Amino acid sequence: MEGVSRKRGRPRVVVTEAVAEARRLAVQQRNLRRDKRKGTKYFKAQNKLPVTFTPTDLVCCRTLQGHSGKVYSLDWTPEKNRIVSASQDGRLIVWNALTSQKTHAIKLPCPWVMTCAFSPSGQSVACGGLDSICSIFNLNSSMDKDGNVPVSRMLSGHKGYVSSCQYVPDEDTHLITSSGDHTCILWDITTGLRTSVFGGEFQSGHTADVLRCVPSVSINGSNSRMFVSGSCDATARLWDTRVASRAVRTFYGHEGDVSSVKYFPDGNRFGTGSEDGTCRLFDIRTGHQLQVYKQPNSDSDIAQVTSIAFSISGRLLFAGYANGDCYVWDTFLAQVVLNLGSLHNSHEGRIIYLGLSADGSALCTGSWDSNLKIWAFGGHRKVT
Amino acid sequence: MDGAKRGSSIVPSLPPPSPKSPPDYSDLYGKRRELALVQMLDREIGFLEEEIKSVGRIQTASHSCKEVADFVMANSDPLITPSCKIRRSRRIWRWLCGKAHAEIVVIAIVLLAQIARALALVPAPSVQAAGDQDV
Repeated sequence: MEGVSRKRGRPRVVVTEAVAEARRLAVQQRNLRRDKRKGTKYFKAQNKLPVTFTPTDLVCCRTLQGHSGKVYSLDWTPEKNRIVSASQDGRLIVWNALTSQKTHAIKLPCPWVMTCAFSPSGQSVACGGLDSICSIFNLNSSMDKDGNVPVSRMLSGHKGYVSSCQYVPDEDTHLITSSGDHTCILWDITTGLRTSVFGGEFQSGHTADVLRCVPSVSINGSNSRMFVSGSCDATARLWDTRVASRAVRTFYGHEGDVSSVKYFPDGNRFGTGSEDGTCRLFDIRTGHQLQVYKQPNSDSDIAQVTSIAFSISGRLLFAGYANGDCYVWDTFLAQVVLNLGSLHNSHEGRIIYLGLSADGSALCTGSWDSNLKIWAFGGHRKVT
Repeated sequence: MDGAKRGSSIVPSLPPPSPKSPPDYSDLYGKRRELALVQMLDREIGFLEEEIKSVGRIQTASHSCKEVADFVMANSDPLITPSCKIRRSRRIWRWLCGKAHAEIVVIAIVLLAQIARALALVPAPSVQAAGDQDV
């Protein structure tokens, strides 16, 4: 906020300071309320045994080659082992993850794509990027005269780049986008219209670019109509799709852009990754920060977190970093148990996106080296 | 004006051009924008004050940690295989092959054949000279 309003009413700088003070008080009260036995101390007190991995326990069993530019995003189908990936080469590729075959190669109207997503039915894919538009492609539609899959719907309305897009669970007709215009939008794909806009210039919401949004996981077939967003304002926010006027809760703690957000598999917690180099675990209902995953050797240059993913039980947190590391964290004890980036057949570039398969048996990594790799359990091991 | 005067007099130079300040009119758009921003910030203060009041009623973080622990321990994880016996996990093959059971069967047959040869249950095929064959 700049300047001071000299007009009638309270000067804006005074109000701004009041807001900042209120925020400090809220965080302080929350810290006082937080039990001292949170996170690592709690789990150690419960005698939770650590997870151990050998370098051959998680192996790269597939390398998907086909893009000619940096991979920026990927998404698994909810069922079946198919992956859609988006690359700076201006294409979406749909892969059969088991056979490594490409089933579709979609040339995009705008090559500057930043995000992609599979619809819950697996029949459509969505993407968005610097064109500020979210484009939908029906994989079953006929090719056009140039041999390309035509765009079936273009969702335009954002005033900035589309940073992420995700379908609402179990609904092929609705998806949520986040944008550099500081807002998230819930779209009705059938009509192409905006159902709700979350945040904005005069709304209570993010105060900087929103980098990621993720709808709540479907628990027992029910959709809770909530989603979480992460932003360059260093906060994550919980939203109710039925109430666009304000966020339900704001989560403080990070000291840099929140570049990645993923739900914990139980649906009541979520993890974040940030440019401050840390990952954090938050409780949705209380707002508590339960755990911080701080890189070892953090005295030297701290690498930014690019993407995170939880294993299906939640015991493991996978985190990709800008320096090419991909740490596997024990979520209980906040210890690194493996670095996929250091394995001999790992990516040659930054891992920019992580995604876990629907059944939790495989992890897909997308990298700036233009490849995708699939990792799965490869040996015998035991929880010691 | 005659040439003598023009030749000897100094023509007063025009003042250098200078940008004019905008006219002093009421900037209604700016006023309303400022008011809207102040209202938004006041609303934000209200939300934060509500949150401060509600903090005292929320459950402790250790309670949330217990929920996390209970959930994790109750759910198996294909990427973490607890084993009672030390044995080779074939989960990766299950994942890779999926429905291609034939491949698994072929691999199993090859392995069994190798094991059988090692145990001398099946003699290794030997190359016989033509003259050794029975007529």
